[in-house]
Amino acid sequence: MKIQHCSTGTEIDVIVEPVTAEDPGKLTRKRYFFDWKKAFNGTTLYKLRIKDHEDIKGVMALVDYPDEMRIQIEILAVSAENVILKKDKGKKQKEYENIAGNLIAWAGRQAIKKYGAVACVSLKPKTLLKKHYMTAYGMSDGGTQVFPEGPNLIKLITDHNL
Amino acid sequence: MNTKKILENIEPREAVRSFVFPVKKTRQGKDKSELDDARKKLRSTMSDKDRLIAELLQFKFQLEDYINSDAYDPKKTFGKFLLNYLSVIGKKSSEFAKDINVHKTEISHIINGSRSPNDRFIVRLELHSNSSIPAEHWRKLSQKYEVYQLKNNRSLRASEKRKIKSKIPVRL
Repeated sequence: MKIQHCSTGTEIDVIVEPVTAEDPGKLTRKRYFFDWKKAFNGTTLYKLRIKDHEDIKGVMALVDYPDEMRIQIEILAVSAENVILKKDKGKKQKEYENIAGNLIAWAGRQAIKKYGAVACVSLKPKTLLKKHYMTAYGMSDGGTQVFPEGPNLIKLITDHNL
Repeated sequence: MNTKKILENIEPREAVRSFVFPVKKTRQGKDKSELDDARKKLRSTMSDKDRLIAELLQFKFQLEDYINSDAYDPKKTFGKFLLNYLSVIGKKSSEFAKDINVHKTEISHIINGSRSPNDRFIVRLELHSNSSIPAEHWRKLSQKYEVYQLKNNRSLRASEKRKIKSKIPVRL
């Protein structure tokens, strides 16, 4: 799995792994936007970091639904320096690209590892973002959720070198 | 900054590259049936080739996570993974033996653990999978077993200890 360093274009190896007992203190609202301590309830948190570096570049909360052979992404955020808000446009460049894509692909890997050909990874989008998730990640319309499954899930995973 | 404020201050294209926002729980039943229907429809269009790729990925991820973990599981032997591989590709061991041009007894000995796979066998496994499952993965799997055996072979240590005439004077 690789992310791109925006100013140099260099591709950098990254790792996704479970959040450890020492991490929640680092997951501040200021840098990671949400209340991640609250997100711990009933979810499993995973973080993305650069290989051989401790700094967390992105974090997500997953819930497994074994009866449905599906893993749901409840929340995901990249670190503040990797988000471009409208006010930053033209003034700021993000540090790394493709953090969220790697996290979503990794959730897909977990689903395939557990459920094989019937695996599914889904998320509940805000209505105005639905079509954008579908375009960005090859997801299908599942009503209130969007999801990649089958060939689209395979493509998402292989496109991210998993 | 709360979700509403973030959404007001970010382009949708950028938002999906940065976030999945928390969403209030809705009626689970309706959500589930819509998603189930969409998944069923999509699954019905999956080709046999897609299924095989998905199952091969499942096999590869299970193998990768096991060889990269520190834990040793006596049930996860080379033979067990080889049997899983045969199950994924839908072949009997005798058919597979013909595919990779080895005697069928070699396959059954490797499956039951009475024989260790050599490099020739492991490379043929990689070639058979069209390089989908690298030889290094299979080798690491057999090494994991060998290292565990070496660490836990007390009788070998006891018998070899008698043959050591002198030791270095320090211990780390």
